[in-house]
Amino acid sequence: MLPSGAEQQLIEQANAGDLNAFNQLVLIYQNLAYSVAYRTLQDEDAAADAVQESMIKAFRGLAGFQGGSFKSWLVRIVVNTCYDMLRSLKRRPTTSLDDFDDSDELSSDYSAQLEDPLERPDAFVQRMELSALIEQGIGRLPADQRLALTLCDIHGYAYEEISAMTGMPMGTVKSRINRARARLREYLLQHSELLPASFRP
Amino acid sequence: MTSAPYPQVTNELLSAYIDEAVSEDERRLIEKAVAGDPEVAWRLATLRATVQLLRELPALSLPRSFLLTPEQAGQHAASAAPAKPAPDTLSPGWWQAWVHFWRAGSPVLRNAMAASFALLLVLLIAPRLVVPGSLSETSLSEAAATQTASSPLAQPAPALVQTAASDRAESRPDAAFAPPAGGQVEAAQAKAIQEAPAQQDAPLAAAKAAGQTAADVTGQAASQTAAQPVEDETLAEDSTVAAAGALNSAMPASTPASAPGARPEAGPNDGLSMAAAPAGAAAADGSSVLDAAREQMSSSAGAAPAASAVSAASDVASASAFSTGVTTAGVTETSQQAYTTEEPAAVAPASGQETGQETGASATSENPAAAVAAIAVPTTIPTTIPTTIPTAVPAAEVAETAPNSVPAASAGVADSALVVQVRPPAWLSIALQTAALLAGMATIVFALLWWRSRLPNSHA
Repeated sequence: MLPSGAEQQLIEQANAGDLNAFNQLVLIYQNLAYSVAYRTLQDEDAAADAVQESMIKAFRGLAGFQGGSFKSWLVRIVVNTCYDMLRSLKRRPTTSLDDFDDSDELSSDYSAQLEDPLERPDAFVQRMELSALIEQGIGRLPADQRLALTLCDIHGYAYEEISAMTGMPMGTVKSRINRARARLREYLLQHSELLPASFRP
Repeated sequence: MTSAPYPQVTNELLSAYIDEAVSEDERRLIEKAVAGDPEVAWRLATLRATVQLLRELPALSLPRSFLLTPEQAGQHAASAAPAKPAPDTLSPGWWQAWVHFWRAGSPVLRNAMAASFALLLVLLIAPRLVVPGSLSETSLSEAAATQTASSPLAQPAPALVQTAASDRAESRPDAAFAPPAGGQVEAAQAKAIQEAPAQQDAPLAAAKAAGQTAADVTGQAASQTAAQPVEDETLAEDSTVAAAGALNSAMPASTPASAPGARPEAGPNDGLSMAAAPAGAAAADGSSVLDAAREQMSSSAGAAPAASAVSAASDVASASAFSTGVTTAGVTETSQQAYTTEEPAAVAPASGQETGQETGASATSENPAAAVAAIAVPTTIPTTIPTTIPTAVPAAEVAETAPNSVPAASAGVADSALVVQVRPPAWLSIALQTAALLAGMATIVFALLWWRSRLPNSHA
């Protein structure tokens, strides 16, 4: 995270046409942007396309940035792009050939994150299964609830920031986060064998 | 799901409590409910566990880098290299602001907007460049057309033909015969134009102004004659009587030689030859009949001027009919209708012999004036019944009508010609206006879309 002054300087340079300065901002926020896009779209390729398109939009529309939180402004572009893609996918539903081995793909995705040599293989497998379960539970939520839950619980943003990012009123943000948590909890309770002891009444 | 002891402690309130987004009173209420109700405590615990699980989710690995390339950013490679452009002291701030404003947004929509606007300008300006001063000239032509229409001397094309025919009859008292064939008709027309250019040009130019050709005008005159033989029968008779009193006196001379109704298919040339052709002439051959009649005319130097005028009128009308492509047979048919209804006795030969022979018999009349009148009557009546009407007017009236009508008609013709030359076609004007309207609408639409592309926040 850059200090506010440095970020503002990068924004001004990018606003003057400096692509390198803008790319530094991209390096800072691309993880967040991709996470939001992936949680919203539930598809890696679509999320990557959405992020790339959002970055291009942000650079071309940088003149419209009126100040404030650049992160919120950028995430809002990502969210809008994802909504556009979701609407497009609803109009033209497609099935990717890569989705046939979806369950195996989920586990193989996280298998690349074998970073802790101290973790036992069974514990790692259990953690991966729980993560996959949570991801599936998130995927079952409506898109607006999914987005609010992602921004709040995964990325830790406050209600005000989520409201600024998504353009939703504060009360709407709170209610969507609450409903998303409740529905995800109900979904996880249906698979209680993978849950920690705190889930058991 | 709410517990009975603490119905006000909802899941939403618990969720806000987890996020520390509750007031102090709500906090105390929730802590009291959690302490007093295990069900509320369980709900809070599961919600916290859910949030904790979400926060412990592993971070997603990026499938690729999302750094922008100059091509993606819409920049050229050379312009993307400098990190910060040097301050341009020459260009003012407003220019930089304008350039920055112009570069923002979608370049495709921006260029489409600019192209639509350029097309709109072209469509609005181009017609005025192509036809400079078209509005003033159009007004002038409209005023002239109004003046022409309001003029009492202005006449439609057929009337002008009549007048011209009368004029020609007046101006050519010595003209006796119409050309019998198409080739000769053209020569006769050329000659007529040379002799009376003003009178000849008037109906033709008027016909042009009315969207007609000279052939249409003359053909219209002929067709009017062909279509109204019965209606104009009385007029034709009257005009014939009024034109030359000697004609009527000549007709009975030939009538006894003909039996009524004997040959209803007999043509005008038959009638012509009956009176004029010498004995033994072939009546079926129109040219030979006319030649024979011409000889007869040349021999009858004492022919009445009125009869000459009538024949001159028929000459003009016949020439016009010929020039329109109406064949001699067509004129024959026309003449036959009028002639048979008007002078049946003069048409049919009595004994069914060849018409020329009967003509020879009828031409035994020794009165040359009667012969000339007999020549004029059948040709005048069928081919130009309207034209014979003016010929019935005394020569003085004809002379008065001619100079009055021609200038008025010429003025109207000249103005109408101006209209044709200057005013663009209506379809072109409509097409240009439609295209300009579409270009304007496209400009507005593209401008709005471009503006929307400049404001990514307006998506939500």
